[in-house]
Amino acid sequence: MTKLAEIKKIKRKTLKDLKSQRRIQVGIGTCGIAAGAKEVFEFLEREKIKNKLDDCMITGVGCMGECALEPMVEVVEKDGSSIIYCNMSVDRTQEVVDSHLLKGVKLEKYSLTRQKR
Amino acid sequence: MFERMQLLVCGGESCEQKQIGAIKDALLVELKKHDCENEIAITQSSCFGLCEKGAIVGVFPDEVYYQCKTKSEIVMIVEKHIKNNQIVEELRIKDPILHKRLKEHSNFHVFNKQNRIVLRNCGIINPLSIEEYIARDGYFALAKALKEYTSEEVIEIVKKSKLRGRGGGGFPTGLKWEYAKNSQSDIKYVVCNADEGDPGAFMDRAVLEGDPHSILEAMAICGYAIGAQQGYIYVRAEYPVAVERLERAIEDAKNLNLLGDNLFGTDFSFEIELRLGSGAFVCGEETALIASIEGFRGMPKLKPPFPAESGLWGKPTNVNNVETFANIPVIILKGADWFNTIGTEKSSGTKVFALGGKIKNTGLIEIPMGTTLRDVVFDIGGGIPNRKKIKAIQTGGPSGGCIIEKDLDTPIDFDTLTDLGSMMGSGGMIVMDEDNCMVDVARFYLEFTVEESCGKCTPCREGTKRMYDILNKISEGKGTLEDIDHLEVLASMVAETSLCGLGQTAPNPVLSTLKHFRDEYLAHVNDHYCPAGVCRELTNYIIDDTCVGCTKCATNCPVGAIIGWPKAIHKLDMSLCIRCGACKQACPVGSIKTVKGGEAHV
Repeated sequence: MTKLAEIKKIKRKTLKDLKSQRRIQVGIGTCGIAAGAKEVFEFLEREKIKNKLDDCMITGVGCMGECALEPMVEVVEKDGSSIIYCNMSVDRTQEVVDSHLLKGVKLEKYSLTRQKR
Repeated sequence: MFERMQLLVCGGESCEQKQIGAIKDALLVELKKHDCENEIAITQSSCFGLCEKGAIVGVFPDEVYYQCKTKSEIVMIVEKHIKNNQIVEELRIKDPILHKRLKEHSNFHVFNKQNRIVLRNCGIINPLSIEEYIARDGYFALAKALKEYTSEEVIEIVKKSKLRGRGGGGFPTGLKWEYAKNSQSDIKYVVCNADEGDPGAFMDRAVLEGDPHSILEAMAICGYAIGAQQGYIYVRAEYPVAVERLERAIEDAKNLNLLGDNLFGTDFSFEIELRLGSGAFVCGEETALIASIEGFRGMPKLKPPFPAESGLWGKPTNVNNVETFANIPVIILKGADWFNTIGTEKSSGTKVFALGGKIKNTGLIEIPMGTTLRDVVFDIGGGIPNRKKIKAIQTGGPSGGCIIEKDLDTPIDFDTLTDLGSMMGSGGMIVMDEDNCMVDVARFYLEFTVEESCGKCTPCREGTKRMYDILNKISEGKGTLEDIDHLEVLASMVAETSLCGLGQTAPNPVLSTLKHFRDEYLAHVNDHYCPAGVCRELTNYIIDDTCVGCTKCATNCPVGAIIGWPKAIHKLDMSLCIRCGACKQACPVGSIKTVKGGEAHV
């Protein structure tokens, strides 16, 4: 039987786990999938193994709300700061992996704040 | 990313010179004192450009900016706002111009005019991970409801929150729960209506796909409140991703005993099962939905008896929409008073809209009730593309109506939209520009209701079909003035005499376009002319003498109806033209115009 204390324990542990990793979120709701997010997601998973990005956690999330700019990839650093890349394709994701994930240089040209409006 | 609040602190050079550079450290010390440094993220921004005001601290998602000069002020902000959710008014930056400037600093989708309650976890957590939902205080509301409140108290909180059904009707949710609770029966049911069928609406899908556990938790809370032990989610089979994630969520919740027997050590047990709908629009009506779950053809029944008295298998049943349920856990956790601070007096909270049509930023938005349509279209939506003018906004899908430009400053809530002759509906919002023909829009929605009418009652089965025929006639240029009168009579008749909500609201698109755009109907009938150039039979193009001879129109014409040489004015042969409009779109100087019948080149 689950008690409140156990739920709290799960919360603490999950929060700790999330902090210890760089998190790469891909919006894979139906809208994202239709725009090609699944390919981007699978590509990222392959790149993670290929480049031994052990501190990166690739995860799918729901719709981020900016359907016109799907597929979107959000990179959340360990300190909580994040950048959202939008209109991603496999080629663009390759650029993000090479530049941001491997070298730590953010690709502002694909960021949401830059592309919106 | 998983923090409950974000603090934005300025870290520009001039602030540091004023020796407030240590503001981040001071905040951290205070947060540690209250043992909440893990819940709050501090982000150092560049200079806000407001150095004369002292150090600026922005608190998100509340979007409050403070100016603080001393350490005691920081202590106050942490103690009051961060700890107890009370805004410290005396330190707040009130100047609206400054506030606007600050807002521009945060040109980021989480920080703009939206307020995410329903979509709080969408796009942030992994929907397949129950742990991540728990990390965002998931299932804490259920625990709180079961441990701290009686079922009456839960209903009282929901009533006090003034939450209204988000499926369209806007019926107070707390009252609905109370009716179901007061019905005497040993077996009761909770049903989640996830049969989202409006064209252009996908709010429920986003919640189900992005945050399935919030629905499960809310249904369990509802079950506890009304005394039900079984819940059903009626979800469309056309949402395979949502179905898959819901199945996984139910399984995970069962494994952790967050669904099942004796939840949190109490004697309350609750199970949830999925029922798949096959995409009949009428099954979004609660009695038809219940019939469909029972295994019958989805057709509505006469109300009363309401489902709260006699619903699924004759037992008291509470049916709520996905979005309504998604509000419940937050209301239980943060309280009704907090929820009442958002939105307007009669419609509290937020509403999710699927913004589509002729707009720059299509997508899913969640705004507090009371936001004006102008803010939605121009600030959040980014306005109309291609420098076109806005003509109307269609809300409420096939049950709603059009809102014209002069009403754009109306704050959105359930009652104002009804007053404007439209309705909230489930939340589809389609923006139309000058290229949309309103007769065609009405025809489109009627075509939808004609197909989706279940056929049980005559006014809806026959009336919608006849209205559709008349609209077809008008858009082909064969309409007469009597047809418009007939249309109006039929529309009000269908609205008054239909059995369920589908028929009662089906004439709305016709009535509201007739009210606001009668001149367009008249142009179709009298002049045989479609001003927007949509109705093919009534569209004629000419190329006027501003043509620069770029040949773009001739290249784009699929049937070769345009003849012309570079740098010479082109000619259009209307006998070949199929009125596809490709030339008009291609023309860089706007030389191709739609004209009334007699004026065209032949």
